[in-house]
Amino acid sequence: MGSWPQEVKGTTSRFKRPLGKYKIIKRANCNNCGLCVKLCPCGVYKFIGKKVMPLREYRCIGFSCEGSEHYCVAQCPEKALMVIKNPTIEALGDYRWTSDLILSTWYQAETGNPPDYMEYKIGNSGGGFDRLRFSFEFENQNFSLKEDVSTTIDLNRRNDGRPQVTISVPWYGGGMSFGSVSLTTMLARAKACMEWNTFTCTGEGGYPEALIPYKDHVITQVATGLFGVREETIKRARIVEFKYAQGAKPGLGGHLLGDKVTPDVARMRESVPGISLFSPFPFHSVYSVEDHKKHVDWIKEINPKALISVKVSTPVDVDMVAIGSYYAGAHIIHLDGSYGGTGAAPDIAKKNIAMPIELAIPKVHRFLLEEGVRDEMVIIASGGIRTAYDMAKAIALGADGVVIGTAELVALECTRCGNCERGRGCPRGIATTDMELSSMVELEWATQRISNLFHSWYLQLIDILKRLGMHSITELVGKTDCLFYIDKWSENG
Amino acid sequence: MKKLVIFFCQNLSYKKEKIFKVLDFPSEISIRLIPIPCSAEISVGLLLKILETDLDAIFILTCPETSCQSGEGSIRAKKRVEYTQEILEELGLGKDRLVMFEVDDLENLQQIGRNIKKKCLSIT
Amino acid sequence: MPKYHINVKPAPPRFLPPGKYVLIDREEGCLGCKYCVKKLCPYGVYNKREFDSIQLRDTIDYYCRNCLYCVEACPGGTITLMVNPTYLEIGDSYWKPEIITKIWRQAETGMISVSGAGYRGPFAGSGFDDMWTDMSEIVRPTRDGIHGREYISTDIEIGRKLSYLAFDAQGKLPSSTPPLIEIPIPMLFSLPGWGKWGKPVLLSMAKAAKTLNTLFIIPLAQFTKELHPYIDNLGIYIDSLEELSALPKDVKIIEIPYNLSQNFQAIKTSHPQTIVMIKIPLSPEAKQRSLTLTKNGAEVFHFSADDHGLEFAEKPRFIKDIIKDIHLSLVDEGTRDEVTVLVSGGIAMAEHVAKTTICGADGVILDQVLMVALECRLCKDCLQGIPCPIDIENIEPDWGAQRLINLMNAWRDQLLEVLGAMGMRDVRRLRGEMGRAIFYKDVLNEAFASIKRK
Repeated sequence: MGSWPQEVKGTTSRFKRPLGKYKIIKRANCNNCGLCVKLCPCGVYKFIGKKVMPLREYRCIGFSCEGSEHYCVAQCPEKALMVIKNPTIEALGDYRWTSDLILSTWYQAETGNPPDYMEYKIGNSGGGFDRLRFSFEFENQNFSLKEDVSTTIDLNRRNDGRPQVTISVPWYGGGMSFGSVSLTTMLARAKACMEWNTFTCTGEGGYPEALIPYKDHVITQVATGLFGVREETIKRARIVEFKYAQGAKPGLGGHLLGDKVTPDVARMRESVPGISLFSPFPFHSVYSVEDHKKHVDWIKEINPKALISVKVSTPVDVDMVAIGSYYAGAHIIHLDGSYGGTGAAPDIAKKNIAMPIELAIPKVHRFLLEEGVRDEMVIIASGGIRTAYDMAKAIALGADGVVIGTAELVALECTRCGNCERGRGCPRGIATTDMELSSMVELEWATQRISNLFHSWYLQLIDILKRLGMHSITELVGKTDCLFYIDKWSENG
Repeated sequence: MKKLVIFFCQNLSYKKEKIFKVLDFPSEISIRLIPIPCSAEISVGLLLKILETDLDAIFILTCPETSCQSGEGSIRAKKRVEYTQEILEELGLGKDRLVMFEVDDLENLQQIGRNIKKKCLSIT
Repeated sequence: MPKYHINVKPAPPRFLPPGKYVLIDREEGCLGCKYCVKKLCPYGVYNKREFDSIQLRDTIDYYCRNCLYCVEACPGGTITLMVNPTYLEIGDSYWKPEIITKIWRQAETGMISVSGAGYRGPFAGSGFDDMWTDMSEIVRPTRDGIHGREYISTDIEIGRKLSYLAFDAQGKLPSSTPPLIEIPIPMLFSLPGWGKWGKPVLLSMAKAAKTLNTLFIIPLAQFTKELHPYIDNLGIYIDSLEELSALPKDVKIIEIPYNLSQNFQAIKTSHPQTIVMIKIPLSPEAKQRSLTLTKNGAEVFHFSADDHGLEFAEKPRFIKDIIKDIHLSLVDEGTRDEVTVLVSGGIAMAEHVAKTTICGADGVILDQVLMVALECRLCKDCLQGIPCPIDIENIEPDWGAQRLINLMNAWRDQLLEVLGAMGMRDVRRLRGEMGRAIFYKDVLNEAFASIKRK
């Protein structure tokens, strides 16, 4: 499998002037003496011929440099430099993915480590994960494990004779269909997941042939549109995921608007180019738990080795749905909370329908415990999990592992502009199959960016476990006693 | 009736109503107060296009150079305003139609208000 | 019976809405690259940009989609994007700029607002933002209503409904049944309590009410000749008994203020086929008033809150909490099904209609949101004597009507989304369905019961 954990390779932005938190103003009285080039620890300044330019302005750590002896503003003999907060940062981000979170995800995707001058743990949504903290974040803790800790989890706990599937990190990639994202994006995810011994998922739009070399790390998704669902795609996967619902648009099927249905997409989905595709909802063959069991049995028949994951939204009776899936024979119950990402969804559904994941996990965890079947099921949580800290909190609330989606795209320099579904798709080439746009992303670059981000998350999870005195991520499951909930919350968190 | 527009940098942190009151214009002069995110938004092309409409004059209120949030907004705006003023002189419209003021504080704003009123009276 | 369908047609705004961002591209420092990033803008905004001489803006701000491609790709770094302060000034603390711009988009296109990327807002809030609606899966099917695959009804009936029918010895009904009006959407129109709107606005609303087949409640003084042809879709508000005699004779529904409610019986005697709606401003007394009036034969209540959905009181509660209280009290009395409860105040989004219904209302009466649909920015300059920046008194009524029709279609479609997700085929089934709603504080306390607070 190669070295573990994977090596970090510094992978800079595709753009000439990537956004950074701070901006440098170099006034006309600069005499090009080059002192700043020598001093700056982040390598911001460089000579271009005889002139000095702040070429890597985005690496500037800003005001935290102020007291030090290498603060360029103070040291410049001509006083020609000024550091300000970049005004464009005001136009980036929102309550869930703040500008700091977006920038720090880019930082981690570039360097493989979390930044020390920007927030990388929480957002600004004022609830859920953003108001939960680990106990060690308050107390000054000297206690920290010296031994190695494990982040692996097993996905088959049914003892039903089917092969065990073990992933080396407690996350896998969420389903993003071919059509909603480009083939390059899917391949990059698959390659990075293979390096880290975890999985990615095909999404609703079929199983592109290019993914076959990575088949041991690709989950086949069976969704209500049944696009590209054939015996061979079910047979080749180690895990098959039934998508009953998606967090961002519960009660509705997939949306792929006309301009994004390019000829390749139409061919994969056996449809017509240019026609919008709205998947039906629900599975019109499943109207009861018994029907659900028939569905699960169908897949189990076709592929006697595969594990079954059932992906559901979070209604009021999500615990009933979970126990129903247990009795239907599923291995994994995958809860997708309402604040999850999407390529296209009605705004009313994103905000209002079903509950956020933080509120659903404890419900299901507790109910399965009461029913005595908790240790036979794997609970996977998703829907707005953005950082390693969100992941750890989700596990502490009761999940075994998580699924992440948006964060992988942010690693590829998504800015959360929200234009995914409009026209030809993503203006940055990530969530589109348009030939011209998707050529903006190069496969090796994309794979390394995602892998670097995984590296940073891995480091953070190890750190969290050590500080909690736990030897394995499995010890964290359901340990709400290591969490605190912040009662008083102000706008600036 | 004179029609003029006053652009003011949002970082001056004076709300529209307050500026309106402080400037205290007589009702014969019709004013539009438009906040801008940064005086760097004002470009030469935009200024000329605005003067092509039925507006008589443009005044721009910006933060002092040293406290410009984007570092260089006021500086650039000043250069552009000067350039545009030269063009206006050449066209015979007079450069008093377009003036930029750096606002330090409230008292300063009142003084600026008086200056603007004087200039308005001198414009034909 | 043909299925109810609303015809939408694009109704573009007369004034370019303020863009959320401002694009600043300075010429100084431009390197003159052969393949300028401006030519590569995925949305072509640099080609489309023009000077808007009315608002003195560069229209690029309206077209820009904030993808930040040009900002990051330009080697000279000459392009910056900033937030537009004029955008932040739209509306107020409840009617936020995002809410208002979404209403404008829906009024322009008639389509539900759909976007990429997950939800971007705060986790929860106050008022309507501390509850979520439910969905069905596996154990109970949803309804695929939005694309017409299954029929979901949004009809409601307005009027008094009898709990039982009494027959005489010959098996005939001794008295007639009370009048009922059936409307195809649970939303009525009325005018806000502030502002000077002008005849074209009234005409737009009347035309829209007629096309949609709903009702527009207007004060008697505003019922001028131009509005006479629309009488079938109008309700008349009177505030004195003298006005009663001036009512047009075929009016189907009238509204009286609470202080005229003691004359309710007398009014019904003189106008037996006219439905009488009683307007009760929300306050701590509203509940008892409605219970008493229901006992005395009231037909329809209009509970009104202020523009932020708050009751008129020292420590105001929010509209949905009060309606819950009133609904449940009527249920306890056993009389809830006899009266129709309509609610107004603070209804700014389609989700508010669904949530108000879940909390016990039969339908809503829209006022301020309709003005926003006609491009109003809630600047309230008109109250200061400053001329309206969007010249609302001179709108073209057919355009105005289409804007309202478009908005109602978008809202109805969103209501279908919510109903479909819940597995319901009828909006009447949604009324009072609090058991399936998710109330934030309750669920939070349950989910995080074992977590220490700080």
